[in-house]
Amino acid sequence: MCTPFSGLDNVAVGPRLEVRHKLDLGPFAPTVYAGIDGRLAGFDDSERSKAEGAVFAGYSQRFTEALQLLLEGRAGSYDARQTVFTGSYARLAATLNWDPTERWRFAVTGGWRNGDTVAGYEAYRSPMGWEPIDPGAYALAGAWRYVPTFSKPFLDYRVSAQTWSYGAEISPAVGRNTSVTLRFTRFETLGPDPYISDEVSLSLAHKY
Amino acid sequence: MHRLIAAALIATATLCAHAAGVVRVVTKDPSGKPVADAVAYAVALDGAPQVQPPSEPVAIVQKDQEFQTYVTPIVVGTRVVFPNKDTVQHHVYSVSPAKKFEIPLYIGESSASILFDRPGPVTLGCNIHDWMVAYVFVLSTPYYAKTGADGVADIAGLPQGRYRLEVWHPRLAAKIERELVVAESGDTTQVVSVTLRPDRRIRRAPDAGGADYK
Repeated sequence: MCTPFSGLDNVAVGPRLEVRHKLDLGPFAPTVYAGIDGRLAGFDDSERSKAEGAVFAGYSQRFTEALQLLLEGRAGSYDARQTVFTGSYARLAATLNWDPTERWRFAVTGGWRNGDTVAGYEAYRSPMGWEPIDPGAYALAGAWRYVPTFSKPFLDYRVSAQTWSYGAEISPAVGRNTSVTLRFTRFETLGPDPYISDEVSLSLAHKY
Repeated sequence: MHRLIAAALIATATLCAHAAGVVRVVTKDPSGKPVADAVAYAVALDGAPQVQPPSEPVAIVQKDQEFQTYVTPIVVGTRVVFPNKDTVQHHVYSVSPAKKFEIPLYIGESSASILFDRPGPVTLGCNIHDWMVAYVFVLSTPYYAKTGADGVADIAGLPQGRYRLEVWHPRLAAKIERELVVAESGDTTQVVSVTLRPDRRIRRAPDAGGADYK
Protein backbone atom coordinates (compact mmCIF):
# COMPACT_ATOMS: atom_id res chain seq x y z
CA MET A 1 0.00 0.00 0.00
CA CYS A 2 1.40 3.38 -0.93
CA THR A 3 1.93 5.97 1.74
CA PRO A 4 0.68 9.35 0.59
CA PHE A 5 3.02 12.31 0.68
CA SER A 6 2.87 15.84 -0.65
CA GLY A 7 6.51 16.92 -0.76
CA LEU A 8 6.69 16.54 -4.55
CA ASP A 9 3.54 18.59 -5.17
CA ASN A 10 4.61 21.52 -7.27
CA VAL A 11 3.45 24.39 -9.39
CA ALA A 12 5.52 25.45 -12.39
CA VAL A 13 5.33 28.31 -14.84
CA GLY A 14 7.60 29.32 -17.65
CA PRO A 15 8.03 30.53 -21.23
CA ARG A 16 8.69 28.46 -24.33
CA LEU A 17 10.08 29.86 -27.55
CA GLU A 18 9.83 27.54 -30.50
CA VAL A 19 10.45 27.75 -34.23
CA ARG A 20 8.67 25.23 -36.44
CA HIS A 21 9.20 24.47 -40.08
CA LYS A 22 7.11 22.16 -42.18
CA LEU A 23 9.16 20.61 -44.95
CA ASP A 24 6.33 20.39 -47.50
CA LEU A 25 2.63 21.01 -47.96
CA GLY A 26 -0.03 18.87 -46.37
CA PRO A 27 -0.71 17.00 -43.18
CA PHE A 28 1.75 14.23 -44.02
CA ALA A 29 4.69 16.55 -44.53
CA PRO A 30 7.36 16.18 -41.85
CA THR A 31 7.87 19.03 -39.42
CA VAL A 32 11.06 20.02 -37.63
CA TYR A 33 11.22 22.36 -34.71
CA ALA A 34 13.69 23.79 -32.23
CA GLY A 35 13.53 26.11 -29.31
CA ILE A 36 14.31 27.00 -25.75
CA ASP A 37 12.16 26.88 -22.68
CA GLY A 38 12.46 27.60 -19.02
CA ARG A 39 10.35 27.41 -15.92
CA LEU A 40 10.24 28.16 -12.26
CA ALA A 41 8.93 25.30 -10.17
CA GLY A 42 7.85 25.69 -6.58
CA PHE A 43 7.68 22.45 -4.57
CA ASP A 44 5.88 21.72 -1.34
CA ASP A 45 9.27 20.45 -0.19
CA SER A 46 10.82 23.88 -0.76
CA GLU A 47 14.40 22.62 -1.05
CA ARG A 48 13.40 21.09 -4.37
CA SER A 49 12.15 24.39 -5.80
CA LYS A 50 14.18 25.24 -8.86
CA ALA A 51 14.74 27.23 -12.03
CA GLU A 52 15.11 25.18 -15.20
CA GLY A 53 16.24 25.92 -18.72
CA ALA A 54 16.60 23.71 -21.77
CA VAL A 55 17.20 23.69 -25.51
CA PHE A 56 15.31 21.21 -27.61
CA ALA A 57 14.82 20.06 -31.18
CA GLY A 58 12.29 17.69 -32.59
CA TYR A 59 10.80 16.02 -35.62
CA SER A 60 7.24 14.92 -36.28
CA GLN A 61 5.90 12.78 -39.07
CA ARG A 62 2.30 11.83 -39.69
CA PHE A 63 1.89 8.60 -41.62
CA THR A 64 -1.90 8.56 -41.83
CA GLU A 65 -4.72 10.63 -40.33
CA ALA A 66 -4.49 8.28 -37.36
CA LEU A 67 -0.78 7.63 -36.89
CA GLN A 68 1.91 10.14 -35.96
CA LEU A 69 5.51 9.79 -34.77
CA LEU A 70 7.22 12.43 -32.63
CA LEU A 71 10.94 12.48 -31.83
CA GLU A 72 12.58 15.02 -29.55
CA GLY A 73 16.03 15.67 -28.18
CA ARG A 74 16.56 17.95 -25.22
CA ALA A 75 19.44 19.20 -23.10
CA GLY A 76 18.89 21.22 -19.99
CA SER A 77 19.97 22.14 -16.53
CA TYR A 78 18.19 23.09 -13.35
CA ASP A 79 19.27 24.99 -10.30
CA ALA A 80 17.45 24.07 -7.11
CA ARG A 81 17.57 25.66 -3.68
CA GLN A 82 19.37 22.55 -2.46
CA THR A 83 22.41 21.40 -4.42
CA VAL A 84 21.31 17.74 -4.26
CA PHE A 85 18.42 18.63 -6.52
CA THR A 86 20.54 20.65 -8.95
CA GLY A 87 21.89 19.14 -12.15
CA SER A 88 21.88 18.82 -15.91
CA TYR A 89 20.79 16.21 -18.41
CA ALA A 90 20.36 15.18 -22.05
CA ARG A 91 17.29 13.31 -23.15
CA LEU A 92 15.83 11.62 -26.24
CA ALA A 93 12.15 10.82 -26.40
CA ALA A 94 9.82 9.18 -28.89
CA THR A 95 6.02 9.15 -28.96
CA LEU A 96 3.75 7.24 -31.29
CA ASN A 97 0.24 8.68 -31.37
CA TRP A 98 -2.69 6.68 -32.60
CA ASP A 99 -5.98 8.55 -33.07
CA PRO A 100 -8.62 5.98 -34.04
CA THR A 101 -11.18 8.80 -34.05
CA GLU A 102 -10.99 12.56 -33.72
CA ARG A 103 -11.95 12.21 -30.06
CA TRP A 104 -9.65 9.46 -28.87
CA ARG A 105 -5.88 9.37 -28.77
CA PHE A 106 -3.76 6.49 -27.54
CA ALA A 107 -0.01 6.79 -27.38
CA VAL A 108 3.04 4.83 -26.44
CA THR A 109 6.16 6.62 -25.30
CA GLY A 110 9.80 5.74 -24.88
CA GLY A 111 12.82 7.68 -23.81
CA TRP A 112 16.42 7.72 -22.70
CA ARG A 113 17.98 10.21 -20.36
CA ASN A 114 21.53 10.70 -19.19
CA GLY A 115 22.46 13.10 -16.46
CA ASP A 116 21.97 14.01 -12.86
CA THR A 117 19.18 12.50 -10.88
CA VAL A 118 18.33 11.85 -7.28
CA ALA A 119 18.52 8.46 -5.58
CA GLY A 120 16.79 8.09 -2.24
CA TYR A 121 17.96 5.77 0.54
CA GLU A 122 16.11 4.95 3.71
CA ALA A 123 17.95 6.35 6.69
CA TYR A 124 18.23 5.98 10.44
CA ARG A 125 19.48 8.35 13.09
CA SER A 126 22.79 7.33 14.59
CA PRO A 127 24.89 9.17 17.16
CA MET A 128 26.71 10.60 14.14
CA GLY A 129 23.48 11.88 12.57
CA TRP A 130 21.40 10.51 9.69
CA GLU A 131 22.96 7.50 7.98
CA PRO A 132 21.75 5.28 5.12
CA ILE A 133 20.53 1.79 6.01
CA ASP A 134 22.08 0.49 2.78
CA PRO A 135 25.85 0.79 3.18
CA GLY A 136 26.18 0.91 -0.61
CA ALA A 137 25.15 4.53 -0.39
CA TYR A 138 28.50 5.40 1.18
CA ALA A 139 30.09 4.73 -2.20
CA LEU A 140 28.11 7.51 -3.84
CA ALA A 141 30.23 10.54 -4.54
CA GLY A 142 27.51 13.11 -5.12
CA ALA A 143 26.01 15.57 -2.69
CA TRP A 144 23.50 14.18 -0.24
CA ARG A 145 20.98 15.46 2.21
CA TYR A 146 18.38 14.24 4.67
CA VAL A 147 14.91 14.89 3.24
CA PRO A 148 11.62 15.04 5.10
CA THR A 149 9.71 14.56 1.87
CA PHE A 150 8.34 11.11 2.57
CA SER A 151 6.74 9.35 5.50
CA LYS A 152 10.03 7.64 6.35
CA PRO A 153 13.41 9.28 6.85
CA PHE A 154 15.39 9.35 3.63
CA LEU A 155 18.76 10.49 2.45
CA ASP A 156 18.76 11.81 -1.13
CA TYR A 157 21.94 11.56 -3.15
CA ARG A 158 22.69 13.30 -6.38
CA VAL A 159 23.90 10.65 -8.82
CA SER A 160 24.75 10.59 -12.48
CA ALA A 161 22.83 7.85 -14.22
CA GLN A 162 21.10 6.73 -17.33
CA THR A 163 17.35 6.29 -17.25
CA TRP A 164 15.21 4.42 -19.72
CA SER A 165 11.52 5.18 -19.75
CA TYR A 166 8.47 3.79 -21.45
CA GLY A 167 4.81 4.34 -21.02
CA ALA A 168 1.36 4.70 -22.44
CA GLU A 169 -1.33 7.32 -22.45
CA ILE A 170 -4.97 7.77 -23.26
CA SER A 171 -6.24 11.19 -24.20
CA PRO A 172 -9.88 11.93 -25.00
CA ALA A 173 -10.66 15.26 -26.60
CA VAL A 174 -13.23 17.30 -24.72
CA GLY A 175 -14.49 19.59 -27.44
CA ARG A 176 -12.36 20.95 -30.23
CA ASN A 177 -9.76 22.79 -28.16
CA THR A 178 -9.44 20.77 -24.97
CA SER A 179 -8.13 17.37 -24.05
CA VAL A 180 -7.51 15.34 -20.93
CA THR A 181 -4.53 13.02 -20.82
CA LEU A 182 -3.98 10.13 -18.43
CA ARG A 183 -0.40 8.91 -18.68
CA PHE A 184 1.58 6.12 -17.12
CA THR A 185 5.37 6.10 -17.38
CA ARG A 186 7.89 3.68 -15.92
CA PHE A 187 11.43 4.93 -15.35
CA GLU A 188 14.25 2.42 -15.02
CA THR A 189 17.35 4.10 -13.71
CA LEU A 190 20.65 2.29 -14.13
CA GLY A 191 23.68 2.97 -11.99
CA PRO A 192 25.21 1.82 -8.73
CA ASP A 193 21.80 0.95 -7.33
CA PRO A 194 19.32 0.49 -10.18
CA TYR A 195 15.78 1.41 -9.32
CA ILE A 196 12.39 1.69 -10.92
CA SER A 197 9.90 4.44 -10.41
CA ASP A 198 6.42 4.71 -11.84
CA GLU A 199 4.60 7.91 -12.57
CA VAL A 200 0.93 8.42 -13.22
CA SER A 201 -0.16 11.84 -14.37
CA LEU A 202 -3.41 13.48 -15.35
CA SER A 203 -3.14 16.57 -17.55
CA LEU A 204 -5.56 19.05 -18.99
CA ALA A 205 -4.65 20.95 -22.14
CA HIS A 206 -6.66 23.80 -23.57
CA LYS A 207 -5.77 25.87 -26.59
CA TYR A 208 -7.10 29.44 -26.85
CA MET B 1 -34.86 52.54 -65.71
CA HIS B 2 -36.91 51.60 -68.79
CA ARG B 3 -33.88 50.00 -70.34
CA LEU B 4 -33.34 47.93 -67.18
CA ILE B 5 -36.91 46.66 -67.19
CA ALA B 6 -36.68 45.86 -70.86
CA ALA B 7 -33.46 43.91 -70.33
CA ALA B 8 -35.06 41.97 -67.48
CA LEU B 9 -38.07 41.10 -69.63
CA ILE B 10 -35.88 39.91 -72.47
CA ALA B 11 -33.78 37.79 -70.08
CA THR B 12 -36.92 36.23 -68.59
CA ALA B 13 -38.32 35.51 -72.00
CA THR B 14 -35.07 33.86 -73.11
CA LEU B 15 -35.03 31.72 -69.99
CA CYS B 16 -38.62 30.60 -70.50
CA ALA B 17 -37.93 29.63 -74.06
CA HIS B 18 -35.19 27.17 -73.10
CA ALA B 19 -35.74 26.12 -69.51
CA ALA B 20 -37.97 23.14 -68.87
CA GLY B 21 -37.94 23.39 -65.15
CA VAL B 22 -36.16 22.07 -62.14
CA VAL B 23 -34.53 18.73 -61.53
CA ARG B 24 -34.81 18.02 -57.84
CA VAL B 25 -32.14 15.62 -56.60
CA VAL B 26 -32.91 13.94 -53.28
CA THR B 27 -29.91 12.23 -51.74
CA LYS B 28 -30.12 9.56 -49.07
CA ASP B 29 -27.52 7.38 -47.48
CA PRO B 30 -28.14 3.63 -47.08
CA SER B 31 -29.94 4.26 -43.77
CA GLY B 32 -32.26 6.78 -45.41
CA LYS B 33 -30.71 9.90 -43.89
CA PRO B 34 -30.18 12.96 -46.11
CA VAL B 35 -26.67 13.65 -47.41
CA ALA B 36 -25.56 17.27 -47.13
CA ASP B 37 -22.80 18.93 -49.17
CA ALA B 38 -23.22 16.71 -52.21
CA VAL B 39 -22.94 18.40 -55.59
CA ALA B 40 -25.53 17.27 -58.11
CA TYR B 41 -24.88 18.33 -61.68
CA ALA B 42 -26.18 17.62 -65.14
CA VAL B 43 -23.92 17.31 -68.16
CA ALA B 44 -25.69 18.00 -71.45
CA LEU B 45 -25.29 15.08 -73.87
CA ASP B 46 -26.56 17.01 -76.88
CA GLY B 47 -24.04 19.80 -77.04
CA ALA B 48 -22.40 21.34 -74.03
CA PRO B 49 -23.43 24.89 -73.19
CA GLN B 50 -20.88 27.54 -72.33
CA VAL B 51 -20.31 28.23 -68.69
CA GLN B 52 -20.22 31.82 -67.56
CA PRO B 53 -18.08 32.38 -64.47
CA PRO B 54 -19.24 35.10 -62.11
CA SER B 55 -17.61 38.48 -62.47
CA GLU B 56 -16.92 38.70 -58.73
CA PRO B 57 -14.79 36.12 -56.94
CA VAL B 58 -16.38 33.55 -54.69
CA ALA B 59 -15.28 33.77 -51.03
CA ILE B 60 -14.36 30.80 -48.86
CA VAL B 61 -14.05 32.19 -45.34
CA GLN B 62 -11.83 30.85 -42.57
CA LYS B 63 -13.09 31.42 -39.05
CA ASP B 64 -12.52 29.64 -35.74
CA GLN B 65 -9.69 27.81 -37.50
CA GLU B 66 -12.07 26.07 -39.88
CA PHE B 67 -13.18 26.68 -43.44
CA GLN B 68 -16.71 27.94 -43.09
CA THR B 69 -17.89 26.19 -46.25
CA TYR B 70 -17.13 22.50 -46.54
CA VAL B 71 -17.98 22.13 -50.24
CA THR B 72 -18.07 24.97 -52.77
CA PRO B 73 -19.19 24.16 -56.31
CA ILE B 74 -18.07 26.64 -58.98
CA VAL B 75 -17.78 26.70 -62.75
CA VAL B 76 -14.51 26.73 -64.67
CA GLY B 77 -13.03 30.20 -64.83
CA THR B 78 -14.25 31.28 -61.42
CA ARG B 79 -11.92 33.15 -59.10
CA VAL B 80 -11.95 32.34 -55.40
CA VAL B 81 -10.68 34.41 -52.48
CA PHE B 82 -10.00 33.10 -48.98
CA PRO B 83 -10.74 35.77 -46.34
CA ASN B 84 -9.12 34.95 -43.01
CA LYS B 85 -11.37 36.17 -40.19
CA ASP B 86 -9.23 34.58 -37.50
CA THR B 87 -6.65 36.33 -35.39
CA VAL B 88 -4.05 33.75 -36.38
CA GLN B 89 -2.39 33.25 -39.72
CA HIS B 90 -3.45 30.60 -42.20
CA HIS B 91 -1.63 29.04 -45.12
CA VAL B 92 -4.18 27.84 -47.65
CA TYR B 93 -3.01 25.35 -50.24
CA SER B 94 -4.05 22.64 -52.65
CA VAL B 95 -2.04 19.88 -54.24
CA SER B 96 -4.98 18.55 -56.24
CA PRO B 97 -4.39 17.91 -59.97
CA ALA B 98 -7.22 20.28 -60.94
CA LYS B 99 -5.54 23.18 -59.14
CA LYS B 100 -2.25 23.41 -57.32
CA PHE B 101 -1.64 26.61 -55.39
CA GLU B 102 -0.67 28.02 -52.06
CA ILE B 103 -1.22 31.30 -50.30
CA PRO B 104 1.56 31.45 -47.71
CA LEU B 105 0.98 32.70 -44.20
CA TYR B 106 -1.47 35.55 -44.20
CA ILE B 107 -4.07 37.18 -42.05
CA GLY B 108 -6.95 39.51 -42.86
CA GLU B 109 -9.91 39.51 -45.12
CA SER B 110 -8.14 40.23 -48.39
CA SER B 111 -6.28 37.35 -49.94
CA ALA B 112 -4.94 36.60 -53.36
CA SER B 113 -7.69 35.47 -55.72
CA ILE B 114 -7.10 32.07 -57.27
CA LEU B 115 -8.39 31.21 -60.74
CA PHE B 116 -9.82 27.71 -61.01
CA ASP B 117 -9.40 26.98 -64.70
CA ARG B 118 -9.74 23.19 -64.87
CA PRO B 119 -12.68 21.00 -63.92
CA GLY B 120 -12.43 18.54 -61.06
CA PRO B 121 -12.33 18.28 -57.30
CA VAL B 122 -9.84 20.43 -55.39
CA THR B 123 -8.98 19.67 -51.79
CA LEU B 124 -8.13 22.70 -49.68
CA GLY B 125 -6.06 22.61 -46.54
CA CYS B 126 -4.22 24.88 -44.16
CA ASN B 127 -0.56 24.00 -43.76
CA ILE B 128 -0.57 25.29 -40.19
CA HIS B 129 -3.79 23.71 -38.96
CA ASP B 130 -3.88 20.23 -40.44
CA TRP B 131 -7.45 19.53 -39.35
CA MET B 132 -8.78 22.28 -41.64
CA VAL B 133 -10.15 20.83 -44.84
CA ALA B 134 -12.62 21.97 -47.49
CA TYR B 135 -13.36 21.23 -51.11
CA VAL B 136 -13.94 23.19 -54.29
CA PHE B 137 -15.66 21.26 -57.03
CA VAL B 138 -14.99 22.88 -60.40
CA LEU B 139 -17.64 22.18 -63.02
CA SER B 140 -17.75 22.60 -66.77
CA THR B 141 -21.53 22.66 -66.82
CA PRO B 142 -23.77 25.49 -65.64
CA TYR B 143 -26.40 23.06 -64.31
CA TYR B 144 -25.55 22.21 -60.75
CA ALA B 145 -26.65 22.60 -57.14
CA LYS B 146 -25.43 21.56 -53.71
CA THR B 147 -27.53 19.62 -51.25
CA GLY B 148 -28.47 21.28 -48.01
CA ALA B 149 -28.99 19.67 -44.63
CA ASP B 150 -32.19 18.16 -46.02
CA GLY B 151 -30.22 16.33 -48.72
CA VAL B 152 -32.06 18.15 -51.50
CA ALA B 153 -30.53 20.02 -54.42
CA ASP B 154 -32.58 21.78 -57.06
CA ILE B 155 -30.87 22.13 -60.42
CA ALA B 156 -32.71 24.90 -62.15
CA GLY B 157 -32.82 26.11 -65.71
CA LEU B 158 -32.17 22.92 -67.64
CA PRO B 159 -33.36 23.18 -71.22
CA GLN B 160 -35.17 20.24 -72.72
CA GLY B 161 -32.79 17.45 -73.69
CA ARG B 162 -30.69 14.52 -72.57
CA TYR B 163 -28.26 14.79 -69.66
CA ARG B 164 -25.95 12.70 -67.57
CA LEU B 165 -26.82 13.36 -63.96
CA GLU B 166 -23.88 12.94 -61.60
CA VAL B 167 -23.48 13.38 -57.88
CA TRP B 168 -20.16 14.16 -56.20
CA HIS B 169 -19.23 14.29 -52.55
CA PRO B 170 -15.76 14.42 -50.96
CA ARG B 171 -16.36 11.06 -49.28
CA LEU B 172 -18.23 9.38 -52.08
CA ALA B 173 -17.61 5.62 -51.98
CA ALA B 174 -18.55 4.92 -55.61
CA LYS B 175 -19.24 7.07 -58.66
CA ILE B 176 -22.89 8.00 -59.17
CA GLU B 177 -24.24 8.81 -62.60
CA ARG B 178 -27.40 8.17 -64.53
CA GLU B 179 -28.95 9.37 -67.75
CA LEU B 180 -31.72 11.87 -67.49
CA VAL B 181 -34.17 13.21 -70.05
CA VAL B 182 -35.61 16.61 -69.34
CA ALA B 183 -38.94 16.95 -71.04
CA GLU B 184 -40.62 20.14 -72.03
CA SER B 185 -43.38 19.57 -69.53
CA GLY B 186 -41.73 20.39 -66.24
CA ASP B 187 -40.00 19.37 -63.08
CA THR B 188 -38.63 15.96 -62.17
CA THR B 189 -37.36 14.41 -58.96
CA GLN B 190 -34.43 12.03 -58.82
CA VAL B 191 -33.81 10.04 -55.67
CA VAL B 192 -30.17 9.07 -55.40
CA SER B 193 -28.66 6.63 -52.93
CA VAL B 194 -25.28 7.92 -51.76
CA THR B 195 -22.80 5.80 -49.84
CA LEU B 196 -20.08 7.77 -48.08
CA ARG B 197 -16.75 6.70 -46.70
CA PRO B 198 -16.21 7.51 -43.00
CA ASP B 199 -15.45 11.14 -42.21
CA ARG B 200 -11.87 10.88 -41.04
CA ARG B 201 -10.10 14.09 -40.12
CA ILE B 202 -6.97 14.89 -38.24
CA ARG B 203 -7.51 15.42 -34.55
CA ARG B 204 -7.76 19.06 -33.60
CA ALA B 205 -7.61 18.88 -29.81
CA PRO B 206 -4.23 19.82 -28.28
CA ASP B 207 -1.88 17.40 -26.62
CA ALA B 208 -0.74 17.77 -23.03
CA GLY B 209 2.85 17.06 -24.11
CA GLY B 210 5.28 14.22 -23.62
CA ALA B 211 6.37 12.57 -20.42
CA ASP B 212 9.08 14.33 -18.47
CA TYR B 213 11.48 12.99 -15.94
CA LYS B 214 11.35 14.47 -12.44
